[in-house]
Amino acid sequence: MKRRSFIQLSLYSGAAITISSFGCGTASEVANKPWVQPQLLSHICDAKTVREIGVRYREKFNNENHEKQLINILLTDSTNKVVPVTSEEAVINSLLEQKIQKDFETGNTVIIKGWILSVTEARQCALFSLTQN
Amino acid sequence: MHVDARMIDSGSLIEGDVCIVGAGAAGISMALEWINTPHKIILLEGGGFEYDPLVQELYAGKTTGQPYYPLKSARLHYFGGTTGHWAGYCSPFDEIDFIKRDWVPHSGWPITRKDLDPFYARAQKNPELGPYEYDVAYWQQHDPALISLPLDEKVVWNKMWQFSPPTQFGVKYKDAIVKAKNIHLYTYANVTDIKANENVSSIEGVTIKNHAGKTHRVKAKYFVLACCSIQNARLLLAANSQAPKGLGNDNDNVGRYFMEHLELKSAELHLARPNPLKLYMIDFGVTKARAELAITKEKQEEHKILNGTVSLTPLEFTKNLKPMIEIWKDDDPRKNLDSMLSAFQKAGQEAASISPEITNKSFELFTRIEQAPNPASRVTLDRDKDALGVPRAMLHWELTAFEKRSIRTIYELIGQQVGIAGIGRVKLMEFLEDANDHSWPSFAGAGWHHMGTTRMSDDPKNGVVDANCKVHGISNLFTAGASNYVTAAAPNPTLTVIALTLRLSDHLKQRIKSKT
Repeated sequence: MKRRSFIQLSLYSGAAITISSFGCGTASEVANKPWVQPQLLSHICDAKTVREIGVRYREKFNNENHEKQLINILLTDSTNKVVPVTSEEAVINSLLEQKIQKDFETGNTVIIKGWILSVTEARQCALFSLTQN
Repeated sequence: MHVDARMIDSGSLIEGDVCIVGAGAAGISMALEWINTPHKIILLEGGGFEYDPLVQELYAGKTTGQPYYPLKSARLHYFGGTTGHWAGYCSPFDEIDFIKRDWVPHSGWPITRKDLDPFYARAQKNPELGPYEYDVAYWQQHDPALISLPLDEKVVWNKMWQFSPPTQFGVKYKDAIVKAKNIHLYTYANVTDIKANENVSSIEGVTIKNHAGKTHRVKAKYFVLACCSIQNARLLLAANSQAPKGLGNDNDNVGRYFMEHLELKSAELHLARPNPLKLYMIDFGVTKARAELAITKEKQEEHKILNGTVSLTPLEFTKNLKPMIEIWKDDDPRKNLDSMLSAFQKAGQEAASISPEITNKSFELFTRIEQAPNPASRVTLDRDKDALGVPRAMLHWELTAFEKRSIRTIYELIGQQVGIAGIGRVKLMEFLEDANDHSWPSFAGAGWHHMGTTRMSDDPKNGVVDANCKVHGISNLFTAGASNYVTAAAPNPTLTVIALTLRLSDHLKQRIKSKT
């Protein structure tokens, strides 16, 4: 893994975590990555709805209103390590799937536009709304 | 035998051992229990064998509080009662419904589910249900296509319903009642007053009237009011010539704690892959049993919520269906029924052209939830009187924030479980999005289930009747039906009405036996 420099970011919950600024990527880098759109939700909602959920999420948690920040949070694993944005699609999908599952199991859910969502997939929606204008 | 009370001489004295007032699910079930016994049973029905607008009008009354259906059309006033147009949904109350729950004020029956179990088993017969089996596994053994949603059973369980054809008691049991030598059915016999002895410790008789101008008296050893919750309370409150607050009302409990099942669409379930969810679907007239989603006792306690269930119906069907509170607006129940059936038919036709791939992906989640017992939700008397001189009933239906919080929590729990299972997502309706919003949407409706106006309690200060449905302080007056309920549970009330009635019937037989 490349050298990392760490910055502090505050999550909506108020907790602070350390994330990499190198592995995070930019909007243009992730715009066409399938994982930007939450997988299961994409089976039941159209892109417009996903985008609207994302916009509402960012309104509700306006300290999570930046692409890099969202990418970093999404790609941070359970040990606080960041999976590089350049990783294989399957690796990232697996990470996100695990995070979503854990969110539901631990009650880390959020209600956005009526949808009962894992916080992780809500953040995916938020990222989607920023990258897919 | 049958007598039309309009056709006998005014001033007739009718005498019997037991007088049952009201011939609906409770009254008829009670009468059936006494056929071929040595006892003379007087069964009084206010209407005839068919719908009569004049008689139906006696049920008219005002409502305040939460918007409600017109009282005049919320029940049927003829032989068979409201089974004349019911949907046939039956399920027993849960164990938790009978116990005292610290988080539900005024909860706790003086009887348990175990006490009622043998009567539930017997009650299956009258509405022509299947075996007394409400375990999902039983029905799955008979039909492997009844597959449960893969949700954690420690949180969400499948509560089974069985469906009556639906049996119209007035049609099904008319012959049995009329042909029974010891059952004396009087139609057009509206009770307008109840007379007690001098110290109001027992009932001596009731007065009956009809639109033909005939007035008769009925004397019996025992009286059972089986007129449904609003009318039971109305009769007790109106019988105030000897007890100024009404019979059985020394502690101001008669008419209070009126409960309904709050019924309203609340959320949507969207599946990632189409699934017909046969276990949860109903095909009227065909389906014998189906499941609704319910929250376990442990989770109800943990989250301090009311008991409710969630039914699933394809969204493609329900999206074209108006809420019942908007359909059932007329004073004439027949017109309402026609409107409802035509709305169902239209919605069904529109959904029929949609492919199963779409129909089986999205479902409306519809709540049926108990109302917390609330003394301010009540039936009182109006100054206005009906054509027979009885003060009309007034209903103040009052909900609280507790019901709404419970509904929201139920869907949060189901939404979480659906997420864990990875099968889809749940979407709340807008009225549930804000946890701090305690208002109700305009489409919030009810199940036409009137309960709780003569609630059961061992303590006269907290209830109108005791555990045997006897009115406190009056030795020979009983109430049958849902007015006795302490809490409303989630299921439609009819099966429990019948079970409680059979229990009361056994009690009365025992009581009579012990006195001879």
